[in-house]
Amino acid sequence: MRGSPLVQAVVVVAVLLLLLLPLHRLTQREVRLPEQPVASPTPKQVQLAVRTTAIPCRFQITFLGKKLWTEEASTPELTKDFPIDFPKEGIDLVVDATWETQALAAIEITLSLPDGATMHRTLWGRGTASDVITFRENE
Amino acid sequence: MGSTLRAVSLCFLFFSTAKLYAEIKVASFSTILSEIAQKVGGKNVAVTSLIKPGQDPHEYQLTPGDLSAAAAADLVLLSGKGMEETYLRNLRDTLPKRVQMLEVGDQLPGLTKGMDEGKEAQKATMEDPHWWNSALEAEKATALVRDALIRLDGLHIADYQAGASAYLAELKELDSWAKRKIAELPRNRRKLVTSHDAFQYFAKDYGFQIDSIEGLTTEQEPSVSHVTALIAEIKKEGVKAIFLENTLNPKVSIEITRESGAKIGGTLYADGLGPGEGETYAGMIRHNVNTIVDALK
Repeated sequence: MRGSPLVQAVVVVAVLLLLLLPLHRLTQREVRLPEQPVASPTPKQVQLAVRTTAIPCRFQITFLGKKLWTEEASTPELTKDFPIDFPKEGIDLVVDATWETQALAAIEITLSLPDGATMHRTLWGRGTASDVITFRENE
Repeated sequence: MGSTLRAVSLCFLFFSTAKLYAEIKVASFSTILSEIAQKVGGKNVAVTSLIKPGQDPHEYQLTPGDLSAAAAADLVLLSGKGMEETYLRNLRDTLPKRVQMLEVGDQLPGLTKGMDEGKEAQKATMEDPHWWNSALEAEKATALVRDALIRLDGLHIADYQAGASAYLAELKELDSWAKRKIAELPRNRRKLVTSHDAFQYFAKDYGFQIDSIEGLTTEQEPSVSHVTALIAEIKKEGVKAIFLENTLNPKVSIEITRESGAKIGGTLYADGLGPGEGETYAGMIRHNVNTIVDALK
């Protein structure tokens, strides 16, 4: 290479600078913020109590598309605990009940949270009762 | 003379009987109302749907041919709540007095998201006109159409009542199915982001929070600041999917998925019936509910 050492140095620096950008792009990993998942509430031990005005009563409670509790109730009141995510938006339970009697009957579902909060929903029907019930705190 | 009189009497009897069985002509500016009128009216009505399945009603422009069809009708059905704002005055001024106009949405309770308090003047333009995305509102609309047909045609009251009862039973079953299907989705994941703001009634019925790229009509272009805020919101809330609509360009939605990390959850019928599963009202609701639940689960 001919020319003064100063010119040679400037050329080398210029070449290095030109190489810097593609090198930076090749070596730099795309910085992505970690995906923020939906805050999943800690499962709470939720207690469900079922009361029916007529027995025998066959009922099924479904939560998020899965059977949670199926029972052939021969007593008017039953209680069971379930570990359930209970977000501030509340939960929906699908309740299907059938009675042998065709007289008007009711099934009442009481949901109790560990902090003592309780919520009640009742379905009425003749022979059957079926609906989606929503439990939300402070409602 | 006697035979002439008999002939005249027979002609009179023939024409009056023909009149008795004449169909009630219904012109509809909504694909949903066309279905309702057909289901309630059955063989006693002839329904002309001026807005076709898959057509964006926000972009519809009244044509002379459609105006003639409306003028020839006994009953004109409109979605109401501002949906026909651009041509409603022309219709009112042009249609003969004998033509009954029923603005169905105007007789249903309204939903106004984000309306400033005390600004009642904004209500007409800010009320969500998409009442048909709620099966419960469709039930109320069915009752209104039934009553309008009964007012026009007292000879077939029983038919209209029977048609309405059968259709109302279908709608109740549809709502019940939708509630059960949506119950599969945790309530804290019911965040629905759509192309335009057409799902307020749906959200109210089934416990969703909603956001949209465009406003209540598809004519409003989204601002950069709105899209930026929406992307931030999708990231913050961890929204898994956003939804396209069958009558709208997906360009902005796709860009938002690139920036936010959400996926495209599917295409919804927002503005009425359309080709495919949305050819009937029940098919439209089932398609929307299945698409939303499956994508957000």
